[in-house]
Amino acid sequence: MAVRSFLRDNAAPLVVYALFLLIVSQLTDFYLSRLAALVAFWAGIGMSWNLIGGYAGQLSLGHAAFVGLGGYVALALQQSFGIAPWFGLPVSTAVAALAALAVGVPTLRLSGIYFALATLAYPLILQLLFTYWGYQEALIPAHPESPFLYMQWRDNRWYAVIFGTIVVLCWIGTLKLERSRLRYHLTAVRDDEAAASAVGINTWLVKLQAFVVSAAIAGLLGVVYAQMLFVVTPDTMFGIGVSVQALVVTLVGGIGHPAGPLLGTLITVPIAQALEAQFSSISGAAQLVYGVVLIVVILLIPRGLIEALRGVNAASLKRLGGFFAGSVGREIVVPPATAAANRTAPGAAPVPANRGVLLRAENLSKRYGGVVALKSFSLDVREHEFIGIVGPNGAGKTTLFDLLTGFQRPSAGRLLLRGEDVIGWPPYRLARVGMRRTFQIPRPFGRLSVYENVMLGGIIGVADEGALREAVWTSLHAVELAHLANRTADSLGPSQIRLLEVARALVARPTLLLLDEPLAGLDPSEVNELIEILQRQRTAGATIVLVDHAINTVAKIVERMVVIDNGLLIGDGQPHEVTRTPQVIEAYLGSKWDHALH
Amino acid sequence: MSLTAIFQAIAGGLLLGGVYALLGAGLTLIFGVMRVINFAQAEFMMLGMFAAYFLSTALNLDPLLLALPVGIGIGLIGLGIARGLLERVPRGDHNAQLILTLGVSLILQNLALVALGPTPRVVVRSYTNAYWSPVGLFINHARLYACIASLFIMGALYLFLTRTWTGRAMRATADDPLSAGGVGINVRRMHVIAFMIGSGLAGLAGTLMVTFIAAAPLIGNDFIVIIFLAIVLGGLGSVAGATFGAFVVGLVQSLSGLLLPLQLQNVTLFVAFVAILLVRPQGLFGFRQRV
Repeated sequence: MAVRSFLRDNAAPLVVYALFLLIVSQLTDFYLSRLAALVAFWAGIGMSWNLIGGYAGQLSLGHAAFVGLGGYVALALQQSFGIAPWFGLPVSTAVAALAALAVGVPTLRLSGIYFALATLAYPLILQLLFTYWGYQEALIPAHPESPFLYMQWRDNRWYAVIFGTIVVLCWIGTLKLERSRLRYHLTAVRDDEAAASAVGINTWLVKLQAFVVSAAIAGLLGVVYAQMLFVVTPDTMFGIGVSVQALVVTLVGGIGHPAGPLLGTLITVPIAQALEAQFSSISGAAQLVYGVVLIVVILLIPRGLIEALRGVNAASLKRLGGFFAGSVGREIVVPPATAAANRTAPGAAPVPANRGVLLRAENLSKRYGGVVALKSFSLDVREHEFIGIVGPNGAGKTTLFDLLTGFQRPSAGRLLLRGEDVIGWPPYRLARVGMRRTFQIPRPFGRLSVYENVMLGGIIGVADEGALREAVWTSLHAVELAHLANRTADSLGPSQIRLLEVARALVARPTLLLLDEPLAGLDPSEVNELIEILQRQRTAGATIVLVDHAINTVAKIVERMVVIDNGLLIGDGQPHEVTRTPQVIEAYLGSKWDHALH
Repeated sequence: MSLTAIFQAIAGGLLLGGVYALLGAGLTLIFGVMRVINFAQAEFMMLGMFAAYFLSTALNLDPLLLALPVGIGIGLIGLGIARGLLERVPRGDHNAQLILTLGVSLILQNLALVALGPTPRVVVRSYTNAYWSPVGLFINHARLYACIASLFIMGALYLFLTRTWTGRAMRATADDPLSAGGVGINVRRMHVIAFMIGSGLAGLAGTLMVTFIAAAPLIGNDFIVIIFLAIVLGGLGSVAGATFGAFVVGLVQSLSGLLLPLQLQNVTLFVAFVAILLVRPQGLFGFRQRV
C-alpha cells in the first residue's frame, strides 16, 4: 500500500529517471554522454538552489561556494591523505553544510538585496583563498586501475548515472516537501516575513534549514563534479558562472517548482554546450547567452516556463505543466457540513468579575535618534477586556503597537505578559504564546488561497490536521468568508482582506488579539460587520486591544478607552468619561465634538 | 616596514579612492533613486575604458580630454538600458531588478569578450610612467591626474545635486518617491536620469583610469565588490557616504598590500564587505534603516 502510493506520488520523477537511464545507456559518444552528465549535474545544482532561492525566496548569489567546497575538500583529502572520494563524499557534504550553517546564521538575518550581496562575497573569498593555498590548477590523483573505487571513469555515463540518481532523489524529496507543512512555512517566509512572524513562524530558522540542506546537496554534487572534470581550478568551482547558472536554470524552468530546474537545464545546458563547442576559440559565448536568457526570462516569464505553460491553459499543456509540477496542485477545499451554522467559537463563557492582568506595559518609551515617539507609556490589559487605544495621527499609536507585539524594542520600560518579561522576544515567540495581531496595511499571503491563508494562522500551534481544518473553518465562518475559501487572497477586496487577516489571527485561538487600525478604509456597513465579529469573539473570551484613530466609532464599541497624544498617555477609562476629559477634547476632538453630541 | 612605505601606501590608496568615488557615487545614486543595485556598474566602467582606448588611439587625443564625451556617451547607453529594460520590471520587485542588471552585466562583459578578445589594452601617455616625488614618495602622474579630475567631477555632482532643480528633485525622489510624485516630480524620469548619471560617471571613471589600468572585458569583476563595499560603508543611497567609503576602501586596499601577499589583498576587502553587511548594513552614514 505504501509502495503503491509512493509510486503514484512520484510518478513523474520515476518515469523520467527510467527514461534517462535508458537514453544514457545508449550514449556511447563521449560528447553526448558528457552532455547528459552535465545536464544531470546542473539540474541537481538547480534543484539544490531552488530550496533556498525558490521555496524560501532568498536570492542566494553564492551557491558556488558550497559546490566548490564540496569538490575541493574531497580533492584535498584525496591528494593529502589518499582518501577515496566515496569516503570524502560524506565529509565534503558535512563541510558544505557546516559552512552554510556558519555563514547562514548571521547572513540570514539580512533580507532581500543585502542578503544577495553578502552571499556574493563568499565564493569570491573562497576562490582567492584556495588559489592562495596552491590549488591554482589541481589534478585529481589518477587511479586508472580502479575506476569504481576512485570515481574515475573514462566513460562519462557513470557520472551521468550518479548525477541522475541524485537529481531524482532531490526531485522526490522536493515533492515530499511540497506535501508537508514545511512547504507552507517556506511559502510564508518567502512571501511576507513579517506576516510569517506574526503567525508564529521562526523565519530565520526556516531559512537556515533551507540554506543548509541546499548547501549540503550542492557540496555532494561538487565532489562528483570535480572528479568528472579531473582538472579543477578555483574559477570553475567557485566562479560566479556557477552561481549564475544555478540561478538561470531554475529561473528559466520554474522557480519554486520541483521540476523547474530540470526543465531549465534541459533547455539551457545543451545550448550552452553547443555554443562552447562551436565557438571554442571565443570564450564567453555561453555566458552571453545566459545574460540574454536572464533578461528575457525576468521580463517575460519571471516565474519560469512551468508557470507560463500553466497560464496558457490549453488542456494538454496544462496537463504537462501539472505533470512536471508534481501531483500536488492547490487542493480545492470543501466546507464540512456541520460547521456551517456555528458562528461563535465554542465555550462562550460569561466574563468573570475578577480578571487578572494579561499584559502589562510599564513606562514604555521609544526614541528614534532625537525624536521621542513614546514617553513612559503604562497600561494594564486585563483578561477579557476590550480596549481601544486611540490618538490622532502621529500620536505614537503605531510605535506603541509595534512595541507591544515585539516588532520593535523599546528604548526603556518593561513589558510583561502574564508576569513574564517579554522585552526582546521576537514576534514569532509572542505569537506562539497566544498573542496575535493584524496589520495596518494588510499582509495577506497573496498567492495562497483564503483557506491557506487562514490555515497559516494555525500552522504553528495546532498539530493535528483534523483539528486544524476544523479551526480554519470555524474561523472562516466567524468572519463570513467561508464561501470564498478557494479564491486567492489577492483577488479579494480591501475589506475582505481585512477580515481575512482577522480570521488568520483567530485560528490559533489567541488569548490576546491586537488589531492595528482595522477600521481604516472600511465603509460603515463593513465597520459594523467587523465590530460584530469582534464582539462575538469577545463573548467567547478573547482579550482584544484595538488601535485606531476613529475615536467616535471606537468609543461606541469598546469597554475601556486609552488616549495617547504626542507619545503621552492622556486618558484611560470608560469611553464616555475619557472623551469628556479636557485634555482629550483639546488634543483630539476639539470642543465642537462635545457640542455636537448634545 | 618603513614609514615611507606606509605613507606611500596611504597616498596610493587616496589616489585610487578618488576614482572609486566616481564609481561609488554613481552606483549609490542609482540605488538611492531607483532602489536598484546596478550590477553592471563596473561594466559601464569597462565600456568607458575601451571607448577611451579606441578613441584616443584613433584620434590621438588624451583620454583626459575624452572623459566628458565618453561619460556622456556611456550615460546614453545607460539611458537606453534604463528606459528599455529596467522600467519594464514591476516596481518594487527588487530581486527581479537585481537579476536584470546581473543579466546586463553578463551581456556587456561577454559581448566585449567575444568582440574584443581577452587581451588587456592600456593607453600609454607621456605621464603614464612619470612620477612626482615630494617628500620621498612616488606619486604617479596618471593616477594623480585621474584623482584630481575625479574630485572636480564629484564637485560638479555635488553642485548638481544641491543647486539645480533636477538634482534636488532626484534627492526628493530618493527620499520619498510617493511624496515626490505627489508634488509633481516625474518619478520615472528621475529614475532614468539617475541611471544615466550613474552609468555615465562609471564610464567617465573608466576613461580616467585607462592610462594606468589596462582595459579588459572582465576587468569589472575586480572592481564590483570594491564599489559595493564603498557604498555599503557609506550607507546605501548616500553620495557623501559613498565618497567617504571610496577613500576608506582605497586606503584599506592599499595598506593591506603592505601586510598581505598579493593574492590575499582582495580577501580583506571581501571580508570587510561581509562584515559591514552583517554588523552595520546601514553603513556609517546610513539613512536607510531597512535591512
